[in-house]
Amino acid sequence: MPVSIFGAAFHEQKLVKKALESFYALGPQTSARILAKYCIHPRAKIGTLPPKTVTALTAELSTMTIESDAKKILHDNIKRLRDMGTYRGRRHAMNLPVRGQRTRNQIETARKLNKVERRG
Amino acid sequence: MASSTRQGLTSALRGVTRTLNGKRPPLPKQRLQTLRLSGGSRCLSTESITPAKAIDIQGLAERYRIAEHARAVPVSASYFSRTPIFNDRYLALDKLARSYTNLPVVPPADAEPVVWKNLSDLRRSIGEQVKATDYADCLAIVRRLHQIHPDLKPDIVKEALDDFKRDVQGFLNRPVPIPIDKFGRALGVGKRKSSTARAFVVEGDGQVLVNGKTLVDYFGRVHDRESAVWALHATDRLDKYNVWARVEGGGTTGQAEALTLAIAKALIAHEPALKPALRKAGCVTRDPRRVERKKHGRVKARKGPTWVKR
Amino acid sequence: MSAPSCLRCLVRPSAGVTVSSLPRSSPLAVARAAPFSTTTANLRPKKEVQTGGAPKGHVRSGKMLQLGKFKKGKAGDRGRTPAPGERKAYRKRITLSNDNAIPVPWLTDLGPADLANPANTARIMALPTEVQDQLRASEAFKPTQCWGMFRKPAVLVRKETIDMANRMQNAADKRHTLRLVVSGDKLTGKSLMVLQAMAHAHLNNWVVIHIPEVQELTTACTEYAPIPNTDPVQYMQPVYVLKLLQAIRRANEGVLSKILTVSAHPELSQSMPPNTPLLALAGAAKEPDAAWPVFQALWSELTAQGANRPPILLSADGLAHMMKVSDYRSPAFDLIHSHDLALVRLFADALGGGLRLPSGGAVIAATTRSNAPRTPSMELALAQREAEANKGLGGPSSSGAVEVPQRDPFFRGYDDRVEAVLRSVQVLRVRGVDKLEARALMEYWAASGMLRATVDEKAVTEKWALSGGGVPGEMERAALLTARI
Repeated sequence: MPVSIFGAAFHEQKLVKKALESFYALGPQTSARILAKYCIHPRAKIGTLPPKTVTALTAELSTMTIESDAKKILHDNIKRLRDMGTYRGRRHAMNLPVRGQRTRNQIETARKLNKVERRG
Repeated sequence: MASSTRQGLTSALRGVTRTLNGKRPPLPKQRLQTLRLSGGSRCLSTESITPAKAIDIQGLAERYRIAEHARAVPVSASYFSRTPIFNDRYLALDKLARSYTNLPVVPPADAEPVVWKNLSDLRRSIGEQVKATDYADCLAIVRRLHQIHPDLKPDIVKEALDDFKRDVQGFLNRPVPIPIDKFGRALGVGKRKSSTARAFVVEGDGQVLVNGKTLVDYFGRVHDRESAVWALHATDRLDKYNVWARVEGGGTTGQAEALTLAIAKALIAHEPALKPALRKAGCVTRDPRRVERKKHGRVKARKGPTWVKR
Repeated sequence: MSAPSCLRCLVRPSAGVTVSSLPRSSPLAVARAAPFSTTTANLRPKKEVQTGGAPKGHVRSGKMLQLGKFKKGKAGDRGRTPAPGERKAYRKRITLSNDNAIPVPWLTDLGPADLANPANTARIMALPTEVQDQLRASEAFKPTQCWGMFRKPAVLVRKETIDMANRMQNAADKRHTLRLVVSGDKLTGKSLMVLQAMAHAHLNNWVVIHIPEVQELTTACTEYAPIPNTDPVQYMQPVYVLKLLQAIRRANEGVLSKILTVSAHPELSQSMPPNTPLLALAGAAKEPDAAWPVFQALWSELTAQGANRPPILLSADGLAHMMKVSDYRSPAFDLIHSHDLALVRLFADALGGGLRLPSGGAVIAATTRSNAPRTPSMELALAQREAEANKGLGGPSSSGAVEVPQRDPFFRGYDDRVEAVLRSVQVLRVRGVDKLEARALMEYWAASGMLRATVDEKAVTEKWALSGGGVPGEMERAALLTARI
């Protein structure tokens, strides 16, 4: 019986902490604070949460800038750089490292992620 | 020596011309001195120790034809062999052995323990490439002579044997006896691998403290605990002594076995009669094995690098 | 009771290999090989053997240099993977009997007064069956203890045991509360002292509430929730309390069924008229949410003034976990002190003397040396109590005045709440057994066929010295478990 939090379905054996951290822009620090706020112990699993807490978690997450909101901010920032015509913006657009790394090899991450609509 | 020199001279001077009449030229003293063979070394010595008796050249010349130039002749016939000094000694020993063959002997075990020079020692000391078989034969004679009853051993034999003794005689080392101090403690020191243990053993009821901890706290393995107190255990003294020990270096096994040796030594200080029992239990001898050094071209001391054909 | 696993074939009992699953019943299995096998995997019906086709593995297998630590192909069929929780259950299972052990004829069952009788010093006595069940219900047995080696569980009556049982008896008679901390070195038998205290309590019809592992309460692995209307905020642990209530119910069934409630408890969802047996009250909680109010009601009934209640034994193992800041976080993201967890606070209050038991009883907590956080305050407090007790006795004759240890002025990690709790407890220090007790132990082992040696003065002395002066756990390791090391 999957449990839905903030639109995502999780298996009931999944740790609540890990489930929270699966959202973009929600890391260990934030997830620990959310758990403390709703008095969920760090080793709790999704299946043990009462429905009340699940809805509360969804409500909490909806107030935060996570997922598409956080991505939007990131994209806006890069787009601003690009529109200004800066070197950094250009490097983003060219799928190349932005911060002065060498490009002879080992730039796979930049190749994969850097673009104006940056992934990840 | 003198007679042999004279005989040597006779042949040496053979061929000297008889032109020595009237005012004969002064005798070449140095030349005569060169004729004297030095005792120890093979080369002819020019250092005169005592001048030889003046040789009546004229008398000789009257009797023989004397050559103008004398040729040096060695004293010993061994001079022309491969190992002259060794041969001389061998012959001297052989002669001694034959002449004293009737003296009473002691069994080899009762003879005073001596470390003889081994083959390389002997070669180094006399500077000759002695053959191994010759050395073995010679040492057999040495051993036979050494067995002669010490009270009846002639001095000449003792001197001859001294040549074959090593400079450092390990058997003369006497261990310093371990004292028991005013508190009744005996301090034994033991080593194993790279561990060192000092154990104070006192009479008591079987308590053991190692570096301030109990045996159980200090050694996690039961086997190590057993080997640490093995000396007491093997002699049934586990409940009669207390041990306070300091151990340093190495790992648990080394420390435990260093402790075995340390406790055994201290126990022997308390009860010397236990030594045979402890030796039987393997607690008396220091285990000399160490970690073998790593060699180049090898992964460890001996392990070869991995190698796959094709 | 049978052995937990068949020793001959080493098959896990939970692996589902019963006699009926052997190929006997299947007509197709007649031609198969003999059914005896040592592994579960081989007991399963074999799949069709591949015939023809390409040979398995790499062409140059055996000639390639394997550099990595991990082998590539998984070799063979591994059989059924264990179900979730099965491995843990297997690890935690408790076996109290071994049919292969020789029964010891001279073993007598414990009676109500036996543990307090000095004549029983250095005797091995068996736990009666009903006490076994009670102790098992409250998880007093631990998997690390060697119960499974003998025909029936038996305990050694030590001097400390008799001392403790007498103190308990005294407290019950005078309606005092004995507040005792059992401390000592590793493997000296601290948990077993608690077990003996529980056995004594059960035999004398006390009510026993036991927390088997305090760390389960404070290492943030069970649910917690703030209790409304408390200042400072306290936290209940509903799931754990429900489990505890069920354990209490099973362990104290006989006693609780005879006690009747004196007041109605309107705060409970279920109606509890007065004169209901406490057993029914303890069973009122079916959901974790209801557990804490029920526990509070039960506690208030047990400690009701005026009513004729039996003495209570509160016991816990692993005191250090109770005396630290827990791993739980408050909604403000601050760490919660263990004493703010309601159940722990109840125990701590009882141990500190703030909570009196009107009908008398005992609060006994054991420290742990193997899995314990460092708690400087607790260590200091216990050392102080011990030194004070020695001073009261006149101290050891050799050293004269005993120094009571003081706080290190340059250390910041002390905890005032902990020291307040431990200000007036008694400390029972458990050490190694003496030679008489060691001999009794070894004779029992030998009589059970677990120690194959003649037990004489020499053997006893040897094992006693090897175990660091008779530490019982180490004696077990040296004498019983040598094959395992």
